[in-house]
Amino acid sequence: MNTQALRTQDKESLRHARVAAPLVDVFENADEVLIVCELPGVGKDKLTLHLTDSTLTLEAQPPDFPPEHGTVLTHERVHAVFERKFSLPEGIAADRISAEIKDGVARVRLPKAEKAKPRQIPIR
Amino acid sequence: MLETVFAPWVHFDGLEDVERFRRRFDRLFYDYDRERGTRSAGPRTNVFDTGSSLLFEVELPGFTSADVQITVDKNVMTLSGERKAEAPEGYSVHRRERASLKFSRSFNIATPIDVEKVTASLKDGILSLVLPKATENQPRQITIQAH
Repeated sequence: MNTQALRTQDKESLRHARVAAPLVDVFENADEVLIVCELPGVGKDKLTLHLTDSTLTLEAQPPDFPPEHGTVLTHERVHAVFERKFSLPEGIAADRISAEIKDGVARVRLPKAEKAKPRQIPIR
Repeated sequence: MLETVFAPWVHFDGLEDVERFRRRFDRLFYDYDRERGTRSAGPRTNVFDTGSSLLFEVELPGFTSADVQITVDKNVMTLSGERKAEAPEGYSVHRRERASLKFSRSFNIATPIDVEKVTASLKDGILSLVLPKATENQPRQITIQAH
């Protein structure tokens, strides 16, 4: 198999680019589910988050080589589209999902709908 | 399914399926390798030789400049640092893949560099280091003298 030709195809068409899964932590408290995702080199402009039915997809474009980079001596960074999908549990207020990214770490907050929050039932 | 099996013999486009399989297979190892890489060999680093300088890009997501130390001693550059990645207060944990990171990684700099002019910047979790080469080591054009 001519692997050289196949690799060129990878670079030209993003649709065929390698996809890698970034590391995530998922936490929960009474008010929200919090997803913390490591995306080194990704700024606000490179990150997209979309919700279809109850699947949340987090996607980030691969890093570029710096301009005028010359010869590559060592290449360890993952050059791939970052992607991770999450199935949202019941009770998330989809319209209030928010996200921010700082220092290459994204935080996605999934607030729980009021009725899904744990409540104390008073005894009369 | 039958069509996929016979396609390679009839049209060379059939190789697409093989390529798709290769990509999916690569991805299994890619994700696995990524996790191990962060914990054992230190942060993932790209190194470039731009001709006039050496350029390092080190993946340090979640680090601030206070968390990283850079020292250059003769021709060895050492990067070290620590970042905790604890669960926030009051939250229960569903999934933990990120680890607290404490690392120390040394690079042998083969070319003499001008230590005074080394610059470092940290943005979006990438530490970029520019090590300008000592002037006599930069590539130079040799002009041919006319006789």
